Amino acid sequence: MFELQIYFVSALVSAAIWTLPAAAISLIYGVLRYPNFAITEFMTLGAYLALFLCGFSFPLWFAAPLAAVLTGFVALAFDQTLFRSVRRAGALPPVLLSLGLMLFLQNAVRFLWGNDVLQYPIPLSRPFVIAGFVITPTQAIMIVSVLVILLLSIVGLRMTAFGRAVRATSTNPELAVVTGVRPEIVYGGVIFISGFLAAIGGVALATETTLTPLLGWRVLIPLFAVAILGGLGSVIGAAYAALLLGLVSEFSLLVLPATYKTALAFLVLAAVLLVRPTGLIRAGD
Amino acid sequence: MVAYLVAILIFAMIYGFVALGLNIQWGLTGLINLGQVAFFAIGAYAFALATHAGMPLLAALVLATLVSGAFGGAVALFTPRLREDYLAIVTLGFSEFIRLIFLNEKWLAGGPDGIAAIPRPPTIPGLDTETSFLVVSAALVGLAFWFSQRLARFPIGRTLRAIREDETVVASVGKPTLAYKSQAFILGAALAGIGGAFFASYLTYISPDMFGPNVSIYVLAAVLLGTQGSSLGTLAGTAVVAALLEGTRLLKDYITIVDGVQLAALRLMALGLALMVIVVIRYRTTRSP
Repeated sequence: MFELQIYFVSALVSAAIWTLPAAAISLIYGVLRYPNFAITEFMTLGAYLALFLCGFSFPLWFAAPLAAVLTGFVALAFDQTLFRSVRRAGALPPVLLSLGLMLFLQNAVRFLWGNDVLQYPIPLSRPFVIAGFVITPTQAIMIVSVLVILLLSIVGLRMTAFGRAVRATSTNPELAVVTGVRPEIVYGGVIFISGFLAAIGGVALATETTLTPLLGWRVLIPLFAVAILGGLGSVIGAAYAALLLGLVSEFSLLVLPATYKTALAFLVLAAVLLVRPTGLIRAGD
Repeated sequence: MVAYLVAILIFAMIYGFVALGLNIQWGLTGLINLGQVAFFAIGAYAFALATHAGMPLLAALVLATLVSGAFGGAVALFTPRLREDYLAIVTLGFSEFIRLIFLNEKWLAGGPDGIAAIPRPPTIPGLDTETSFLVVSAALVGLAFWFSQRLARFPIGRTLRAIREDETVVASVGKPTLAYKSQAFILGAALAGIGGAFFASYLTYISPDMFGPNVSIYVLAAVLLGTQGSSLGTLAGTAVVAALLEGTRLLKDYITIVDGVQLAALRLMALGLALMVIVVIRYRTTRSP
């Protein structure tokens, strides 16, 4: 039984890491209608910016949101200078742009910080045990923070005027414009929030692993599997799907070698796209 | 200096195969493929493994072509009804999936250590080894170019272009569009496989980390630079990208303010930026209000 509890904690940790960046992919797909491959690099950039801010002896809980805001502005800058000029040219041009941006950002991080493996200055602490579940304080803080940000995003989408505008644009862009929604504001806001969410996910991933320029790229496939499984466009769907994929890939370790977790995620992704492209999980926004 | 130029030209030839293949899939037929590196990698590994198993070079090349073509066919058969954006996700994911398999299956592909001692074709008498390799690869690129030109002019080429413009119309006149699309994907993947075989043979050593997304981006930029659908444009685009990217390797000797890792990073930043600029120029629409 003890074994199963370890798998369960790992699944929860993976789900917490994947949820926010996958929600970012989902939001952009829902509103701007293209899969954004640069999200993984916003994770990497956010994680390194947080490390950079930690260098000014800021604690990580303060450096992380600050780095995420900065990453949001970087995402917004690229959106306004490049992506905005191909807004009405279909899905392919922004997909190609995001691929170019992915390569650009990944190597910008490599240029600035090098290929060395880096780590946050988090003191090692003894894991504690709750009802047989072994979890480190860092993991607990990470999971709780992600849950808080997830709830804030969901409440924001439901309750605020901006959230309504986002949901309206996602459901029916023409109708949204007619009712007075200004699309460019929605687009810009969604990109900023996506950059923010991705960066938080990047910091979360880096606390569990280490910082390398390939930090985000390594989770590209799980993230897209989660976003598609959750029904592209839905934040809650992404959260459920992250938990589902987390459980599936951890418990797959009982029968599959660990190195195939990502490959399994690709098979899940491909299967969902082929069988049910609208996603498995039906949830609201 | 001449040695550098020959090396750049050889890389241009290798990527020329891959780009010509992508041009058949995307330029001619309109099937986006962000994971062309997968078929490039499959070709490289198939060639390396076949030669290590004692196959003659030409047979290994044919095998590499067939195997990568078969994988292209499999991808095409599994994704017939996928929209453009979903096809983009699946092809990119597939390329990383393939890389992970080569990385993890030590018994098959040597794992992270890769495969070494891959043979090169015999040197043409009277030439040095590098120039000889360039001549051989250029001759085959010429053949591939001739083939793609013919393909575009033959009835199949017209049908593929028609599928690109409007698949429903083509299907409505009774053409089996799935078969045509699969053929385009197979041919494109097979050409990438030939490129992979030449890549493996030229470097005599391959490892999974060579097959990241860079190669796919490289050839996407090349096809976009040439007029989409034109083989000549694709080769010209490849030459420009190769000159830009492989040519900047030369700068290593002149620029001392950045170290090797930083220069490599700068070159790939330039590739990413180049792709973005080309996309903006190609697809720019009027600014939304």
